Amino acid sequence: MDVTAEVALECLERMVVIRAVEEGICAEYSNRNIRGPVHLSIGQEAMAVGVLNVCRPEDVAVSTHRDHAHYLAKGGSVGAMIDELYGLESGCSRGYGGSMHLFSGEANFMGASAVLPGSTPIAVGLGLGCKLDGRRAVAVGFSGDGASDEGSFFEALNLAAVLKLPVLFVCENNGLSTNTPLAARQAQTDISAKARAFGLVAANADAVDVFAVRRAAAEVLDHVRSTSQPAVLALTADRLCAHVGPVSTIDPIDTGAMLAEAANGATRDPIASCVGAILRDEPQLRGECIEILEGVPTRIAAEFRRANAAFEDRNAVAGLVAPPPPKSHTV
Amino acid sequence: MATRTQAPAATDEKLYRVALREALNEEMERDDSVYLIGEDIGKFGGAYRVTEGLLDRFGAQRVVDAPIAEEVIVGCAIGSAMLGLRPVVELMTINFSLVAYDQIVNNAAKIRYMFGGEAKVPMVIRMPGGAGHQLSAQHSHSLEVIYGLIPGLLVVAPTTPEDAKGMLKSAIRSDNPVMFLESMSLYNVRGIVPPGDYTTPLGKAALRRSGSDVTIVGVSRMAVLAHEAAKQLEEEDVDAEVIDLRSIRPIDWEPIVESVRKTGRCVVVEEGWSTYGVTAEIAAGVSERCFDYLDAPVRRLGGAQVPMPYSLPLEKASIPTSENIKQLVRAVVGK
Ligand SMILES: Cc1ncc(C[n+]2csc(CCOP(=O)(O)OP(=O)(O)O)c2C)c(N)n1
Ligand SMILES: [Mg+2]
Repeated sequence: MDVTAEVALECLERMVVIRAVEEGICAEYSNRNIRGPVHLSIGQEAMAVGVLNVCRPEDVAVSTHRDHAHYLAKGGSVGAMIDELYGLESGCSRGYGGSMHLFSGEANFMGASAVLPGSTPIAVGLGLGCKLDGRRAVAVGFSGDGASDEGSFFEALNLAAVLKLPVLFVCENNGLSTNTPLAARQAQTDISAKARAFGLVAANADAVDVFAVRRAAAEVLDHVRSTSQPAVLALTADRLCAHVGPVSTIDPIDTGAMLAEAANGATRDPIASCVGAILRDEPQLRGECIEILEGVPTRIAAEFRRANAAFEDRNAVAGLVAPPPPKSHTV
Repeated sequence: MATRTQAPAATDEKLYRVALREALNEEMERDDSVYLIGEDIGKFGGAYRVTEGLLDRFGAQRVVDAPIAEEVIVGCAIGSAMLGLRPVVELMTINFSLVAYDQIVNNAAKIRYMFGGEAKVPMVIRMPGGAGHQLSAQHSHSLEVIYGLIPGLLVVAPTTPEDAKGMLKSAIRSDNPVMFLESMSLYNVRGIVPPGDYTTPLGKAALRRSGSDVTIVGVSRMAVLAHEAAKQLEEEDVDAEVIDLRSIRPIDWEPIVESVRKTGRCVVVEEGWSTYGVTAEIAAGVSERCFDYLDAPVRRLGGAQVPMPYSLPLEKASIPTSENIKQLVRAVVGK
């Protein structure tokens, strides 16, 4: 590990928060109070956490249909996200957006667009805004590998390079678009090579290891910030859940099982990998790790109970009466 | 050469999605120039499982799994159609077709006319629209009108399994680009599908119910709701005639005009936004053609004029219901 104990635990905690929220969705979805499509981040937590851990609060980020981890890693409120999934007015998008359209102005999370590669071109404009306001902030545009099938993904890279904008394009390669493998969709599957062909700096990292992601992100971010030029960070990891829907392909967090898996050097679970790295280098942090693995899911479960009760209350009181549209919707 | 792939019993009820699959199967069997292209349509069988089994049957040359790149998928279909192939494109939803709108509007729709009839584009773009699944703002809209307003396109929206199959066959055999608008909420609807090889003409509306008090014209799934509403209104002594528009471009005016001249009243319903909508066009056309026969203004009903909200109560309040249709009909007939 090349990070302090504090940073290491911070990364672990954030990943466990994300995982626990996703597991909460899986557990609660069957009550039919959370509806609509949910694209979970299970297996891909280290991508969002590794990158955003080295970002500053004033940096801005945008995401895609698979936005939960990005919102949470950028510092979006857990409670407001869960409320959003229940469609409550207290949700981060006031119940209008749902899972695919989380937003947090406070956290400089500029939302998520779910028609591919919707948010990648927007990241260019965010970069322009950052450049012009002079705070040396950086725009981070998350996308999947599937988004890079679309033409305007590369138009975005090109424009950011031509205008010399501080944008970090993070391409999260889970090897799949819905069910179709990358190699069946792209002849050149090395996204970094393509980025370089467009004149951008590019780096790769294996996103099972959150610290490797963090290291790579720090390096490219440094470049973006100091030169005001865009870069691409291509990350690989497995999606340990269904493309869409409340289905995880691994067991819910269990401290004992996680500690055992942490010893498995070939694990594909980024949380186990993180715990493993911490325990290898700083065995005295075992207690802190256990506290996170046990405490966080309990806290998140309470948030779900609260939101679920609020949902039931609202339905009991308001029935199916729609609240008025937000003011911004009127001319 | 018409080969009959299956001979279903006369009373065979089938799902809308299965009827579509049969049409694809039979047309691919019948004509080697027909091929399919789309996202996840091969191995995975399509986001709504319409193309299930077709890859195994016809191979990867004729069932093409494409990258997530709608603009080039449609462009590729256009180019191949100009050389005599008959591509059937599947787009996951009409909302994603916006990415390909330039190719559809500037090329598919214009090539035949722009080149003085020297070239043609025999292709079909199939895609579902519609709300009701809490898919929120970017996945829920019924954008029929954005294709309805483009000369050079045929735009159809079948609502029954029988029409789904018959109209898809006609669309594939048509020498013009056809926008074939399905509905997410209709894929699991069951209905009788006639046996054997039949086609249903494009460009024709269908009378779903005869009545004397008011004409309800429904677009896509709203034609189904209009039919339900009409049946319920019987109890209130309102005798409504229901026309399923089926063809958004061209509009089949004759049965609509004939009906409104008989009933003197007209209500038009769509799930999309009615301002500048398909219903706006029908209402204007009916007013022009039936002015002297009308006993009340033509009324429109459409979805709420907002990006579709996620929250269940908000979404419900944004989509027309059969109750909304009944209310409007009551107002129009003065009950
Ligand atoms: C323009 C467009 N076409 C198709 C889709 C349907 N769709 C939703 S998610 C998805 C897969 C995207 O894959 P990727 O970008 O790799 O993200 P992942 O789901 O793997 O995180 C697809 C094809 C879409 N949202 N937008
Ligand atoms: Mg992917």
